[in-house]
Amino acid sequence: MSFKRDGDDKSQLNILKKRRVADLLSNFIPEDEATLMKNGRYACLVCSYRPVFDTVDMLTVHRQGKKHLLGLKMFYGRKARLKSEISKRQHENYVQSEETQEEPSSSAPLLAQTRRLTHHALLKTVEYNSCHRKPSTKAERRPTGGGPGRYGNPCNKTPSSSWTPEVPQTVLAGDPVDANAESSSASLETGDPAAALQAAEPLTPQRRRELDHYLKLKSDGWVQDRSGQWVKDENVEFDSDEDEPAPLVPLPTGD
Amino acid sequence: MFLYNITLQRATGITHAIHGNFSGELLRGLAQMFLLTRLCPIYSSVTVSPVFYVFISVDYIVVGSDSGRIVILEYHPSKNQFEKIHQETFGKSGCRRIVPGQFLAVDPKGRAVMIGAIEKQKLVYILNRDAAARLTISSPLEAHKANTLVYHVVGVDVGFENPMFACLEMDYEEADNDPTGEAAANTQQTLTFYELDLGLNHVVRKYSEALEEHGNFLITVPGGSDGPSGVLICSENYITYKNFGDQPDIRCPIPRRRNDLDDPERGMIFVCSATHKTKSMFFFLAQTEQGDIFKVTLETDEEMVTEIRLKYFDTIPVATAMCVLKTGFLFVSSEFGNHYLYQIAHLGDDDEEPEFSSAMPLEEGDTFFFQPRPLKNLVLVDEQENLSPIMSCQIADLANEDTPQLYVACGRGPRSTLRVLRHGLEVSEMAVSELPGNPNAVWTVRRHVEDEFDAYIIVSFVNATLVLSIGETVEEVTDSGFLGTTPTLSCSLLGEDALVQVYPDGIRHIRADKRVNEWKTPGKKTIVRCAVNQRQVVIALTGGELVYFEMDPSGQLNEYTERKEMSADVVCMSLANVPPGEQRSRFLAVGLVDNTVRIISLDPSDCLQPLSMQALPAQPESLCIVEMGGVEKQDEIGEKGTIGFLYLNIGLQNGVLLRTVLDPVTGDLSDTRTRYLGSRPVKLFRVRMQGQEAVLAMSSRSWLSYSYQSRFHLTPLSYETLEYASGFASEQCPEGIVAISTNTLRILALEKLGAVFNQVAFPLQYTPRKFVIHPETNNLILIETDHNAYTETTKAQRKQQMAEEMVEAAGEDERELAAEMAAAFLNENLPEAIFGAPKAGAGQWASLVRLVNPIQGSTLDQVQLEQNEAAFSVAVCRFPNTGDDWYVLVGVARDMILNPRSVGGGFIYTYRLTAGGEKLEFVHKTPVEDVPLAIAPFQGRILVGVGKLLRIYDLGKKKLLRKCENKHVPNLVTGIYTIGQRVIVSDVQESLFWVRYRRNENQLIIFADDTYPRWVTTACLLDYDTMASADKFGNISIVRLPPNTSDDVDEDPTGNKALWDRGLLNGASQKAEVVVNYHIGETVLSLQKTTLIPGGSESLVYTTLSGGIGILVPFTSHEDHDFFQHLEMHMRSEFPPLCGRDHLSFRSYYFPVKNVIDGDLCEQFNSMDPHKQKSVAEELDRTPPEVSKKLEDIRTRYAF
Repeated sequence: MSFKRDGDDKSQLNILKKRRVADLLSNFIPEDEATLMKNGRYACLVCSYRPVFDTVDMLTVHRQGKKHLLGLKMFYGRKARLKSEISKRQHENYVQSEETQEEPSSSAPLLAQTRRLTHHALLKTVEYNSCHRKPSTKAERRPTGGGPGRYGNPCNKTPSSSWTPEVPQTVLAGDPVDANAESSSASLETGDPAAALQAAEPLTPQRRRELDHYLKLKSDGWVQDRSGQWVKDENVEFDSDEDEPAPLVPLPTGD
Repeated sequence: MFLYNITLQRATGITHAIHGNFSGELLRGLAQMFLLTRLCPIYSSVTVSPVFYVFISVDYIVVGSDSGRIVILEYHPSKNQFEKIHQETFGKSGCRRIVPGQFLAVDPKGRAVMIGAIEKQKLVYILNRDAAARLTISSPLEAHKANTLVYHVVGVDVGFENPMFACLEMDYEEADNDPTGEAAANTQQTLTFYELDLGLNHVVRKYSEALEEHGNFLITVPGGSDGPSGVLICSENYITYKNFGDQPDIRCPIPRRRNDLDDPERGMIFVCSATHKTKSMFFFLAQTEQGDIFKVTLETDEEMVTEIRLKYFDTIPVATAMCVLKTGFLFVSSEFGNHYLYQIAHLGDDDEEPEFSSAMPLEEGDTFFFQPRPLKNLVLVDEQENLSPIMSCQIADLANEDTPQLYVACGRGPRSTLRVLRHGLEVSEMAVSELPGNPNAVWTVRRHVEDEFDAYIIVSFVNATLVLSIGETVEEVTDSGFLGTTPTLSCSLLGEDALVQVYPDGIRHIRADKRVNEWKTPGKKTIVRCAVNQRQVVIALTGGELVYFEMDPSGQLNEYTERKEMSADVVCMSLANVPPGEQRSRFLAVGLVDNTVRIISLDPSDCLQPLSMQALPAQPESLCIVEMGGVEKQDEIGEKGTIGFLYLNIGLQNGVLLRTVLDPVTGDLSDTRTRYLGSRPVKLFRVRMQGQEAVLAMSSRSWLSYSYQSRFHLTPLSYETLEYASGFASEQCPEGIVAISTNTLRILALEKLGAVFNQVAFPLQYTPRKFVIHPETNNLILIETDHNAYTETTKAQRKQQMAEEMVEAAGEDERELAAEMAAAFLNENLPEAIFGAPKAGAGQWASLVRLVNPIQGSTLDQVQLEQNEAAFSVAVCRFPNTGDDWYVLVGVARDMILNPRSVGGGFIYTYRLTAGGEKLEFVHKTPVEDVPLAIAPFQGRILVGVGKLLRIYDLGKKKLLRKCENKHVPNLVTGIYTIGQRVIVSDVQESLFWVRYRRNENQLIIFADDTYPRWVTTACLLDYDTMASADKFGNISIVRLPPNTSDDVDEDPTGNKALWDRGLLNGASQKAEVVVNYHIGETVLSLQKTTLIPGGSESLVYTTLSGGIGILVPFTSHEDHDFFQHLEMHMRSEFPPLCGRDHLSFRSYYFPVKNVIDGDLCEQFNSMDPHKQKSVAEELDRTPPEVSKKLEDIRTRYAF
């Protein structure tokens, strides 16, 4: 956009300059201080009476007005209060949940429901307990919500005492958090009811070997069918004489 | 993260070489800098394709580069620097099609220069001289022609007529506009002459002629009064002479080797040439792509060329440039492989070698044959080591030397080598002789001050002194005048021709006529320490008393009237050499038990007065004052001498060496530099290196501190521990060292001064691709692969076949003779490293797997793969399922064609390492669909990149078993790196992918990737989240996963989300952040995080294709970073690169430079003018020595 200005009127030039600057600066109106309405006009969100303007220029002029500036103070005061209120509530919530040691609620209710159902199907003898969750990074960050009581869930306390110490000794290479995740999820998905029973107990070397064996079979390409039999994954190659998965070798010092 | 880039060794491959009149020196264009063979200062780290040229008559250098500028440089031998005379901008920077810079030609009389682009643009500059005889340059004249490709440009020698340039061109306009492709098939190359009309001041396209064959380069034929003028066009199979006027074309076929294994249908071309011209004659040496050099001469009849004659000269490795020096040497520089200097012993005029001529009648398509043979006319004089190309490098201490070695697989084809690089100077052992007992000390003395060489070696034992005379042999003498029944503390030449021996009980002054003056110590005192130079002797008696002697003009040694009592016992003393033209050295340095060094004046006005003192962190062991860093100057009388600074070197008992500047007037000590040398106390000895003083420092390792090409070097000697040493000069070894080690006397020579690494090279057969280290035995498993090559078996078969054909082709009566010839042919075995390997044609591959002992370099085992199997990846690993055996896996491509890319499949060969890791036992081979370019062990199994597939394989009984697969890498997996559960995969053109293996689901899931499309050549893990990667365009970048990245795919137990719910443009949902970007300028093929010196910090070491080695080191403090950031900024403006390329834009060639400071540019500070140094240092609030100390510190903290 260029035009040739004739005459050498200084004030005219200044006005133009000012307008241009204002034009350029008008883009810097924060989003929450004004809104573009459906009809293409602008409304100021700061002033309580929501004045409406036809163009950005007019909005800009309004924004310099005394009334608006007064409103601005109120507006931001209100905002700050709201913010502090939110954080206060959040904090309270957090403290509360810390005290009650409650489980985080899932943000995806449908998924949680599905999972619960699967778990129920797999773990027939043990009642579903929400502490059987994969420790995820997201879960730690999320503010915890309400949850069921903790009667009859011994593993709610045991994880810290018996599961974590096992992590450094685990045969799985890699970062401890992940190893934990793998083994815990593995224990859940084992079809063997006896194994599931043991999940509640401290992990014995035998148990750990079983888990390892399970993971090894899985990573070797064996999959369990509905009846719990190991079958070959068709996308994975096996030695020609390998018809059965390798059985778990009993401990040399069987007790 | 902020990094600092230091080059340890600059690129060694030569792309261009020219020679000029600056005292017969050569100028070579390396990928990034200029270098004179004798002196190598770096000037610019910023040109990519420099083209050099020299005016024959004057020593100017015209440089074309990617800077869009033409630069004219002058060489200053005194400053050992290039100076920019002119810099003219004509185009955009960068490697572009139509911006000139690629081709450069000068008029042989130096009147004009043409600079051309690959396409369309050519500019001509007229060069002239103004009234003050300074060179001037005109504004450019255009000689553009659109739609024209240029192949080569030369200046035609037309004497003093209008300057003329000849170009090999091709006009593609018609071919471009013809959709049938008929025109494209018929387009011919043309030879075009451009004339610069000096009168009209413009350029005309004078004459253009279509060529029958496709030429690849032009050679100017001397003209004017020296020859017939015109050009020689080198093309496939033919060399043709062309000129204006009535001159008919003279054409001669290029001879071929008799019984060559190469495909006979393949054309032969000349690749480089050199011209030799004297007043009476001229000839050309032209080298074919097989390495054979032909001497090309022209027969003329009244200015008309009638005949081209070719004669086989010799065969040397294929070169990029050859230079015939006026002194009769031939310098041959190569892009790959070492550079050689040959002496031309014969011109090949009078031998039986047949001469081929254009006049010999020959049918079209037929050619001459010759028999290649070992060198006859050339004599190899010197060799310059060249690492280019470094295909792979690993840094490890496999030899248990406490400093890691660099194992570098380099070279191409039959000239490939595995080299072991060690930091240090190469020591050549001239002589080793045993002595009757363990000596304490050794000195050498001359008999007369004018003598060039030393006369005696004096060896001191616990209770005796042995004198050996140096002549043809070294033998014991008794008539030297030295006292043999006592140990010696020091001895030296005194005055013109007298000798002095200091021993515990006195001083013995031996005059030339064998008169002896003795000075005995008073009472029960003995001499404990002494310092001697040409005119002065200072001794320290027990109790710390100093006695000073000085020689008077009559040659008498006189004691100074006073003695000086020191406050503590004297541990060591040193005197500087007497400066030329003066009576005495003015300073004596004394080290005392109380951890101080004192400077004592010896000036008659304040004799034996203390001048200054320095406290030390530990007790001193040895002192040495030397004059170093001087520039050679000639005074009015013509006497040559150097004027440098005086340095006081202090060796401490804790193994530290201090170097302090000694003020020559006040005796003040300043600017101390510290360096840890080794575990033993540091002993210092003054020696001479390249006519300058240097210091040999001995701790658990021996070091040499010297100044070379105006830079200080402190380099370890790659040699065993020494105990005492002295300089040594004899006819055989003019600048050597005589040293003792236990009970042997050794004479050593240090030749390759200035070299950073010394190299041991072991030859290989094909181009090495990769190698891995077997962690238990430290042996290397190396894969070598060559395209366009035969395997040994195929070669033998072909030879046999050819021999049979020879016999069959012969007539009945010639059968016997033919059989003999065939037998000779079968037995003939020319070394392929020189004569080249036969070329098998495109799509033919040869490769082998080699097991090497890295210390002896011996090949323990080797497996030749079949013809057309190309090994590309190798890994060594163990499979826990199968016990403790180690397995070597080699990924092989079968029938691969490079362009257009196709492959007939691949294999993974599995070998078991047996016999204690010294044998490869074949287990099985696993067919795969595509090229396995990367193999890496992972959790007891292996990850293999098969084309674009990432797979996990386990060891099976008959083959490897595929267990898991990921198909989501976009193009081609080139590298696999693992850490914990994470796998990082590099794609050939899409940068890095972070993959996680989920054991329970047996799945590989990509969970993060990079945002830039990098063509990754190699990568290196820096930590759990950070990867460094290098790309084929010469960039190094470091990317890091943000801290909130989760490998676990949340709320998605199956991981399907990560599989299917891919983010924008199919990328992974999480992205890595760029931490560092830096343009190196050369393709980097290996990256490794390692420490280079014991006790040093970790750095990222990279090696480049052109043979460079460099490191990126992190800044430890923000202050340092700030300082270097500012220094770099000042250097950019104060010391702009020589070729006119902007430093910042070069370092940001592909990605804006981020968080890296160019240490090479910062180190140029040391070679700036002193006043400029001062102004830059002032801006940084420091003094110039402080700045250079900082530069040295950061270098020595990480490397050498």
